[in-house]
Amino acid sequence: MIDKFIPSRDEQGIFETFSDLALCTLAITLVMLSLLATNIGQRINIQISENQFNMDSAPLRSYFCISETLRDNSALVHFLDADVVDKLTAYKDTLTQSRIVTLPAGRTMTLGNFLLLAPAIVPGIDQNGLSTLSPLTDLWKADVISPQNEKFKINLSASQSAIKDLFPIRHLDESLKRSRIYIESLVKEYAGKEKYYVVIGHAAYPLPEAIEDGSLEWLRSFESGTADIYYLGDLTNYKNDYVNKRHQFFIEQGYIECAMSYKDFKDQENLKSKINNINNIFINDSFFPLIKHSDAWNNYINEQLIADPDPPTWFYKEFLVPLGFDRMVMDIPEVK
Amino acid sequence: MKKFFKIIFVRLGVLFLPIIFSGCASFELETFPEKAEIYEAEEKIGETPYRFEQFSGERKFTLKKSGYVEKELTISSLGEKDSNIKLEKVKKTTLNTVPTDVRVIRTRDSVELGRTSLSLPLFKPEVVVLEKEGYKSYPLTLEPNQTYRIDMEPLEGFKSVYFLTTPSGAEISDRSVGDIISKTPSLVSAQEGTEFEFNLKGYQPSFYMINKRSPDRVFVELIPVPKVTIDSLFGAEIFGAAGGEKLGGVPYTELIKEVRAFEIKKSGYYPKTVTVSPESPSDIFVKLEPIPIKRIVTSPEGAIVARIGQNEVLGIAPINILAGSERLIEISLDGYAKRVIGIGPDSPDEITIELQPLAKDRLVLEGIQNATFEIY
Repeated sequence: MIDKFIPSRDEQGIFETFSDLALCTLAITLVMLSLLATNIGQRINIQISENQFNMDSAPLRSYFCISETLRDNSALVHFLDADVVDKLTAYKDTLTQSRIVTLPAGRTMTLGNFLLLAPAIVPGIDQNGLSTLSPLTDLWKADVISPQNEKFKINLSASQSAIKDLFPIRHLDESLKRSRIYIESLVKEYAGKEKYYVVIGHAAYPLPEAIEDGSLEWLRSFESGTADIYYLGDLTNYKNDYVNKRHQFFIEQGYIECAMSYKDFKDQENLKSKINNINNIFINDSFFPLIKHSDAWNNYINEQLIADPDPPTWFYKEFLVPLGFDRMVMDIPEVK
Repeated sequence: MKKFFKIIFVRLGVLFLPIIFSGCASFELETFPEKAEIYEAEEKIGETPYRFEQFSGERKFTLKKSGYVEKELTISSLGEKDSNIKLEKVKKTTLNTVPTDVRVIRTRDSVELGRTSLSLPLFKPEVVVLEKEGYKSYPLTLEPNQTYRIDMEPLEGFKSVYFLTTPSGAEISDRSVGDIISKTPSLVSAQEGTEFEFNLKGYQPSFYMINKRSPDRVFVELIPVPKVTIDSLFGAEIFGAAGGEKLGGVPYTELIKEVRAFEIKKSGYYPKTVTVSPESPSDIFVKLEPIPIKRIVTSPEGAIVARIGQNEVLGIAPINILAGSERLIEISLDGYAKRVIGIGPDSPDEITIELQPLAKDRLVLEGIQNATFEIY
């Protein structure tokens, strides 16, 4: 009788199998859900880099060219919009009427002034794999008309060697795709008032004057969603024994030669005039310590990037926003 | 008895006298001239004068003498005793036929004696057959010293036409065969549909096709071939058209039987082709147009003038170019835009081409950055 209420051995086996199956399914589902949740969390937790800025703009390429006077070989650097030049070179018919490309004053500077900035510039490549800053080719031949009617002639080979010599100084690896401009901040006191500066390479631009008079206009050549401004930190505070914060770094890190070169550079009289008269690059014997000692300078940049400093509030208001670099860059590792 | 014999004798004598007188007569055959040979049954029996006895029957002789017509003679015993035959000298036997050019064939040995119109010295009658294509054969016995005119009868399907031309003497030829058949005036028998060509020097060829309704006499008026004289500028030369050989200089006269084309050439002038026909006027003056020389001047000078594509450089401007026809030339000079122009005979004598300097784009600097910065 009792046997009737006790399930047979076979019936008991079926029940156990079913419960095992259900438990197994539940366990797998839970594991998958947890993995999915983790992944979503990772996706949502993309970090926004607070010291890296760009603008919401289409990738822009620029042609870099050097023109020289016949009189004294003084050289100018021009940043040309690649889209404009490419359209002109695409026209293959015989040209009997000149086409005029007007270049704003902010896109032309002396070679010396450009070399001041060059250490802080790292050209990247655009979405088509083309360098965002390419030397002008002989496909486009143009006469340079200067405001003083002084004759300048484009020196293509100088343009090519300038790009080739200056910008292999990419302190990161070759996988770098986005253009970079390294900028530091500086605050000085004049008559009890704080004066703000942005320092790019060897040039410290006072704000807001540099923005208002177009001194930073050349940055327009890097107006692109793929050109980032990297904030390296503030240069205001350093030990009094040093010329400045960079000098302090070079000494402390053992880049003595670089530090001496830097101090000598800073101590020169009529420095601006000398810089304006520079008409060659000479990487290994450069007038500019940050070019001559690129290893020390790159190390400096790396250290600052690791420190990951946040820019001061005025940096946004006085510099980034007026220029349009008002978008913080999402720190997506695969999109450097 | 004696009287009886006498009566018998007389009566017999009366009866036989004619017989005696006739059968016993001597014959003498004489001819003028004498010494004609006498043949009897192809055998020579003597010469005239010839005396012989013949008492009965007939004898047939043939008298032959060189230069005289043979004469056949039959002598009957009852005929005259003396025969004096006058021999006829051999003269011409003339045979005319319509049409002419008929073959005369002797029947006994099939030898062709000649073609009509024919004159033969016959010393005896000859049996001949007249033969001509398109006509029925015509047997005929030609007697010496006779003149014959025979109208040949055309065969069935043939038509006999007497062709006359002005002037006469035109050669008649079958156009399809080309053989000369006769000369006008002439009776020609030919199959219907045959086309004849009449040619006479200095006259244009004429044609006539025989058909069923063709009249018996056809008159063809030959039109003289016109002479055309081509004249042009002094020194011009005449050539056959389409690259033909040189025929001569002007003025050039030629008989124009049919439409012909000539090319007149003179250096420095366009060649001109002129077509003349028998209807053309006798004197033609061909006006030649001078080939224009175009002077190509460029501004600035010194440009290379070449055929288009610069495969052949013509020279350096300023340059004179023969503009015989429309042509394209390319003008190029370093630093200037290449120009392609078309020149032709109608272009002005001097063509000035302004070369536009090659343009270079201009990079206009609005200024050089006067940056506000401090050296750091």
